[in-house]
Amino acid sequence: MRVIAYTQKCIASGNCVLACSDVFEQRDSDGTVHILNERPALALLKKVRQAVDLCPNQVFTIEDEANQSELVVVENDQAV
Amino acid sequence: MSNEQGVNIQVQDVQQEAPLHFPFPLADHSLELPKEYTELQAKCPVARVKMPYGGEALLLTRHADVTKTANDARRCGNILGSDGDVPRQEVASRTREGSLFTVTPERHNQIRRLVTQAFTVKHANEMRPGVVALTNRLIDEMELKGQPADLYEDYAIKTPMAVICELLGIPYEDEQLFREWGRDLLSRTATREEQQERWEKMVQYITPLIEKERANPSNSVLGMLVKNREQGDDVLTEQEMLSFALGLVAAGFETTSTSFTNSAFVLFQSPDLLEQLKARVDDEDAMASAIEEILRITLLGAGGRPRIVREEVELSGIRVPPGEVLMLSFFAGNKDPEVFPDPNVVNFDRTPNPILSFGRGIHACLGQQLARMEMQVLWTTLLKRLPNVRLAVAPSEVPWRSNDSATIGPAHLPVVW
Ligand code: HEM
Ligand code: SF4
Repeated sequence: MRVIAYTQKCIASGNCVLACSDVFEQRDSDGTVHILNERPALALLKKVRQAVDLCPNQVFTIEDEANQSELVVVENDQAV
Repeated sequence: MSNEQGVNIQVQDVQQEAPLHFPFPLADHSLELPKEYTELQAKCPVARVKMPYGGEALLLTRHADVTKTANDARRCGNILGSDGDVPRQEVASRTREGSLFTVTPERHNQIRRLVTQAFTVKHANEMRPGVVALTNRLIDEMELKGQPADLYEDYAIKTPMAVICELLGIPYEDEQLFREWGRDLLSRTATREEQQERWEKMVQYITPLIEKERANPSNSVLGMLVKNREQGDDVLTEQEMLSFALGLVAAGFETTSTSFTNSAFVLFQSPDLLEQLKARVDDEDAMASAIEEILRITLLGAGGRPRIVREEVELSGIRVPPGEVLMLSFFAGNKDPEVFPDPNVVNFDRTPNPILSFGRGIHACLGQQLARMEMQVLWTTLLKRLPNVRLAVAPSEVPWRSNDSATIGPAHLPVVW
């Protein structure tokens, strides 16, 4: 599973951090999402998935969801 | 993530039945979601309702529809002054130029990001010890004054008020004034003139504080706004700055104090839930999970949040044309069985728990991590210090708010311990 965070959409709600602080943090400058670990342990897959669902502004897109043997989380600062 | 449904659902126009009157009345001394919501959720997800000051709107009660609408600020925007006299819940429209609710979506995030550093999970946690100390002081004072105490006045309102004052950098001594603003901002019966009068008073009050920040900038939210304005980035107009700062005062304390007081009114009548909560006071994660569930079930208002359709949208297979006013019921969405199995069962370990209490989309609550932290601390301190706390009078004797306010619930909460 590949998760992309479109940071320009981020409204700094902090919900991803609540769901999985091993992978997500908020930047000190403006509270927007920052990925701490682009290749988190597979054990975190469920928590990452929860972060995606709890994000209030659909900042994340999921690709290749069926593949549960790999977990990649990356940032993308392009406008969407 | 939204489920793009509608592939094999036939798109229909709204069925025009006899519209119900909105907002639906609550039973006397009850904070139960009126049954109309869940009935409509099951049978009529896009329901035509008659608004109290004329006109009709469409009420959305399903989690998926509320989320889809709130997430689509382009097609479903906030109501602007230029929309004129649209159906609404208040006597007079409350739109004000330059507020977070009336700027364009692009500008909105620009403005919001000027201050978001003060609303992160990290910052809320940094403020936590101060709030723990404060709530303990408030309990000390309640103990000194003796029983019964008013849990709303003496505890629930003072905590968020102190937090928002500290955050903004405005003097707590003036809390009575802020309460008046809060009351007025939430009033459904204030006329346009009354609103304007209050606005001018608020501006008069805050102007010297802004001058002080200009001379001597601090790290407060007001300081952040002023600094930005001074940098001449042309990011913030004077009106936007005032509107944001003043809006925060009201948004910051009414919601949290009402959430706490209303949840206390409900839990004091559910000894079993109260016991479950007490068992969690030494476990921050378990408490956080319980508070999330408490936020899911705690009703704060009897209406909905408005949006206006700018471009045709499809909701639950129903086509909604531009110009329609939508009322989003975040509280009904919180009871949607499609998302929350056994929605009427209170389950402090519910996971996942995608509550709508803080809204969705670009306007989702800015203060939600502060609010969560405050709710967690308010409940933890109360149950640690006064484990036998309970209502001092029968539930039906608890003084209730007048119904011209957008928030509902006890006006005072007399308790003994
Ligand atoms: C339990 C307490 C709270 C609840 C239930 C709550 C609920 C909400 C909801 C539902 C919205 C979205 C309204 C809409 O989409 O139309 C919202 C927006 C907002 N809230 Fe809260 N809130 C709470 C506490 C706070 C606190 C403590 C603050 C500030 C310190 C705050 C500041 C705001 C602001 C500024 C907005 C507007 C955001 C925007 O338009 O971008 N709220 N809140
Ligand atoms: S949950 Fe979404 S909006 Fe909130 S901080 Fe994380 S990415 Fe940003």
